[in-house]
Amino acid sequence: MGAGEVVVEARNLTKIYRDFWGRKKVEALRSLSMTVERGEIFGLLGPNGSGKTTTIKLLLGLLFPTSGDALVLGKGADDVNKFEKIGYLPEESYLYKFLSAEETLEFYGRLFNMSRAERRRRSAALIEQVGLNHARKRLVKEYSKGMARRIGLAQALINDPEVVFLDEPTSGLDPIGTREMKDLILDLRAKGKTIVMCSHLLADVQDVCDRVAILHQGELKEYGRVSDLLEIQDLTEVRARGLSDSAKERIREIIAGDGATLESMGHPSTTLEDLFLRIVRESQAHPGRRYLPERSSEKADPASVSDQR
Amino acid sequence: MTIEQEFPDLTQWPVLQGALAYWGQTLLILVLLGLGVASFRDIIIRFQDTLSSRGFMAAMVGLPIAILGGILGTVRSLAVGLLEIVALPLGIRRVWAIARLAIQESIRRRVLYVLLLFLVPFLFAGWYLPKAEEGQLLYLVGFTNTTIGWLLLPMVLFVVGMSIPNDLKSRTIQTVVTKPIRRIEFIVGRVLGFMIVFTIVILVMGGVSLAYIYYQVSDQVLRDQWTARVPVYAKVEDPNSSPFYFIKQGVAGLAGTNVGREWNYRSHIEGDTPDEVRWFFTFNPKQFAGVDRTKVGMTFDVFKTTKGNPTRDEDESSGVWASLDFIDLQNPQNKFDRAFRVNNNRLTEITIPTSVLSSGQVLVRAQCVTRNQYIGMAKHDLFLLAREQSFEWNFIKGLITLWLKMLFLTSVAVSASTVLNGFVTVIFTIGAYVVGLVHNFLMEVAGGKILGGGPIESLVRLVTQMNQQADIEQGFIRSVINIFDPILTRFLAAVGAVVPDLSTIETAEYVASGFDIPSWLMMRNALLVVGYVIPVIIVGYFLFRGRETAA
Amino acid sequence: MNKARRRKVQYLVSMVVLFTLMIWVGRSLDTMQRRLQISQESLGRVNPVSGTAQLVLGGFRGVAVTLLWHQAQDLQKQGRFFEIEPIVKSITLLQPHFYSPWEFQSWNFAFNIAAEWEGVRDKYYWIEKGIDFMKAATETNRSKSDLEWYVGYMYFTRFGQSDEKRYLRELFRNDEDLDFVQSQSGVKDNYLVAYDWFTRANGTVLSQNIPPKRMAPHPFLCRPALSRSYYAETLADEGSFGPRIGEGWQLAYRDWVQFGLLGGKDRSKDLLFRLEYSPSEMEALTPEEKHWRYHYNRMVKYDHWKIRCQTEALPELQSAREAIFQANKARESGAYAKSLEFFEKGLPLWRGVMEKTEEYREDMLFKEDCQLMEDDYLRLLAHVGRSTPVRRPFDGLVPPLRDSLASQVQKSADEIKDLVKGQLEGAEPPKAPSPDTPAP
Repeated sequence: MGAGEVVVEARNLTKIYRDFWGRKKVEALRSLSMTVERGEIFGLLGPNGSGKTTTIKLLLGLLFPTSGDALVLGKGADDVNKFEKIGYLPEESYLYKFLSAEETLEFYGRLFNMSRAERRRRSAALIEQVGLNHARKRLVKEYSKGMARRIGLAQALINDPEVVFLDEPTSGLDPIGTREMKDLILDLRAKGKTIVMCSHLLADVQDVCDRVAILHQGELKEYGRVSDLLEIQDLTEVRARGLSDSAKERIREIIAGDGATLESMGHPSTTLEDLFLRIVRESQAHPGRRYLPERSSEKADPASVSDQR
Repeated sequence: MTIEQEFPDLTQWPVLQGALAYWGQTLLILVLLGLGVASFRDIIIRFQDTLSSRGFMAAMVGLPIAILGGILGTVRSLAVGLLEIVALPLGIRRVWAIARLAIQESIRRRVLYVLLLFLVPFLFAGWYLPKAEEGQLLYLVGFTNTTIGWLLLPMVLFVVGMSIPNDLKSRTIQTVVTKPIRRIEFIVGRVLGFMIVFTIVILVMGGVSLAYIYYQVSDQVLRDQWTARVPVYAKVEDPNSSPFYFIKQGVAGLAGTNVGREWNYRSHIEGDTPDEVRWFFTFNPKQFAGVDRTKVGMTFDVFKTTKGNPTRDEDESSGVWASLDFIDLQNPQNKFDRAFRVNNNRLTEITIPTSVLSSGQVLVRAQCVTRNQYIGMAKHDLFLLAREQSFEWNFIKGLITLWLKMLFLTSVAVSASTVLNGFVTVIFTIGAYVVGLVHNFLMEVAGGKILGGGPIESLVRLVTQMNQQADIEQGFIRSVINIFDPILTRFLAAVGAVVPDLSTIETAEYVASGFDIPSWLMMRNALLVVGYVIPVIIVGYFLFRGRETAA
Repeated sequence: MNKARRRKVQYLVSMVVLFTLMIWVGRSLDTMQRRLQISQESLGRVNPVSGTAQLVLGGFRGVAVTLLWHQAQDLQKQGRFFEIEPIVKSITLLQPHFYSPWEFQSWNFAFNIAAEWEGVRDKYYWIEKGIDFMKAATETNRSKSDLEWYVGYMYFTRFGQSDEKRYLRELFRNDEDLDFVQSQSGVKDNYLVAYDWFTRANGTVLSQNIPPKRMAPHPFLCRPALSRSYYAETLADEGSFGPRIGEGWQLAYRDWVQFGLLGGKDRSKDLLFRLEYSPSEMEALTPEEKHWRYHYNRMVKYDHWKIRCQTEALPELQSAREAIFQANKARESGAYAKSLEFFEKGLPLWRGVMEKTEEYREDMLFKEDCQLMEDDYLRLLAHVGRSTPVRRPFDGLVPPLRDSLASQVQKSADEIKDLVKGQLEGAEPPKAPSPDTPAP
């Protein structure tokens, strides 16, 4: 994707929660700068309380930045028009429980000033797409968590948005649901949409995201293409099926003969998880510092050292 | 029917124009005031930020920039806000979506069950019903109005007041405000939706009430009182002269003899003297055309200085008598006079030949005939009965007043709930309502017109059971009173200035006494409430816009 | 888990203990109420509306009543009298066992508001309203002698003592509302209805053996006898002569004696001091007892009423009264000859009674009646030019009216002179003679 059009941008985004008297209470986000380009799936990673949801809420104008700018499609916080092209699936599906699935979509459709015919068409298509056709007349309060999640997704897509914000899209879903959600996200990208999602389920992120930003305690710790981040240049992974013991021994010898050391041989762990844990550990040991991996090819990126004070 | 306070006739365009201009000015002042407050807050925050991050010196140096930034930021925000308000009609579909949502919420949350609750008091109402014909209608109209009002009040408070806070709490608001909806559309939609629900509730309750009243009252009441009289009151075109005055010992004045009645609504004239009362009527004579005789209604007070002649009712010589002269001012020869026994404080109707009214300019002179007795009169105590409206329509007009009250409550509750949590909103709205109802008293306290002093002084007197007139000795308590009472009364005056006087919009009495609610009163009430509700909604909008919708 | 269970057990135990306590406390409160007669049922009729209204308002009952009271006062100030009643009714429904609102408002209706009207029929309407209101109070507050007494008192005073009594009593007689106007004896007369209510109040006082709150026992308890006496007297005044008057006086006498026999001689123990004694008993009274007998007798004019009842019950006195009544009527219509005829028939009869009843003759009021009657007769004789008789009709029994008037004028003049003299000399003015308790 490379140097595509920037659709989401955070510039020195800072969020400080104040108490009643205007005194600082919590610094939820500190000088975050990042960009998301059109057509990519961008993941915000971090443990609970790291600031990833805060970032999304700042981008959506649900929270007001203490300083810095949060731009979506080049528009700032108080420009409501940007929402015409944005879809948002919150952490849990915050929907009106006294409405049915159809009424829910009808309601959100009206908010986009859609005509009656268009509302009908869109909502019918989306209900079909998220597989709730059998429950279209039932009230949302009777829905299971997974169903509520799906109708939540449907409302996020009611306006056929250009940018979709997904807050923990797979939380509360069973493995099949998770798979379907991931497929849907990839499908959206295929249609040219930009997706910004945040999650603490690393496997999901690794599966679908093009680029990620890893946050911890309100600070950006790592930022870049997933493939780059996870690629460790001096590490070779060998995977084979039906290898005999003697063959394994020979491989060991070859490695030893090459002057290298065999670190392990077996099933590889989820490496994003590794990276993530390392960052967290490092960050706790040296708070306030950008994670510097032992990598030779450090990529220059716009958010590199902006928070070094 | 007594009218203690007259309002300018807002149905006349020049009067309305003046009122609107005044309203616009007030609104402008409000906007400027809001601008000032918001800028100040912004500046303080900017200053504090620099102070905490870069130290005192930098903050002081940066102060002018902070001030400029604060003002500019606020002006910009205000401009954006005003643009959104102006653009409200464009988002009518979104407003309707929110309104629909509020209606659906009310229905699905079983709010309409309050209609069943409403029926309960009706089971008991008949027990209190006065046997006398005179009190029945008054009692029933008062009862139904009060019942509807008091049942709607908690409904409005809890349904409306809790609505936005519930949205915030359940975070459903997050999926709504991330759609291209303006906050003003959100607030207006809410108010609209709830008002539609309340309109239905009021209509149903009103219909039930009307039917109930109809079947409760006796046949005689239905015959005599089931009406809405449209009176023509004394009026002159010249704004500098009074259409009603007394002539006491040959001197004209706005008051007659003070007989020492506590209620000074009426002034009296002495019997068997040349003293008289005059009403000037200027009206369109067409409204009386087509009939031979026209009804004249009057309510006079009798003040007795002697016991009178204790003989039978039938005896012509007993009772206090008054004489009325109707004189056509265009043609003084065209006149009519009549003497009649005054019915103490009760509406009496006599008929006069319509020919007297043919020119549209009539003088009515009243004198008391009975020696040593007085009769008391006020401007609205004598009227020409132009026509009669149906009681039902008048009843509905009475419901409109109730509706306006609900609009006031709903708007205040919605606006308050954008920044306050649900429970506080309920308390706040009740507070505003109560202040509105006791507005008169509040302003009297604030103006020092009530015996017993300000709040603290009154409290001291209450607790120590001290007379209102007695002086409080110099000392600690006196000093506390001297320091805090002026502050508190000023605070009360401020509160009173912000909340409208809701007691003056009451119209139930017109309905109950069988008088058509005058159009100028309806207009005035509507303008009072709507003129108040608009700024309230705008304030609510700005507060809501300045509020983060996620925690 | 264990902890949670223990807590649950604790809650359960405390619930059981509290409930048991509550039941026990409730029971004891109940019996206490019964003993002191302050439970709702023992206070009077329980009105379901009242109960509901009280329940709904809960602690705000007092506030609501205060607001309603203000409203009622405002309406009265504004002359909107007809609108007061429903409000006052609501007040009494909210606080049915406070006497003051009942009392205040029924007096307000029957006296203050009634006085705002000139027409007798209007006055009658408001008096009836006031009395009905007080009756409702007696139903809600059982066995409250004061309230029952007030009902009687309003019937007695409002219809029988006002300036318009003649017209009011006539309206009363023609009223079709039997619940309101008919006495137990079946006669439509305000004094007899008053008699019923006073008797009921007396019954309450005597059965409870508690003296009435607002009044001394003697004037309170003498009312039935007084009502009967007034009944008979008023009939004669109105000219409806017949056996009813004599019977009325006889019954009144019985009532007075019955009243006189109430109580005993021990003022610390007995409800009231007894007034009726046989001559021998009278002799045996101690000086202190004699003093109290004198005191209380004066308070209610017991002896006077007894003599009066006895005397007025005499048929010849009634015949005399009838003749004099006719004489006066004829005189007023100008039929002088006929009037004199009636006078000459009545006066000897009257004299006969006077000669027979020495005690009554000395009664001030009776004496005055006689003097006036005699004077009317003598003046009428002079008017028609007939010579006065050699002997005045009541010669030797009472002095002529002119003499007593002259002596009274002289007495007053002397008193004024004394007063002025006393003030001029700077001395204390002579003590005014203590005013007699006015005849009820």
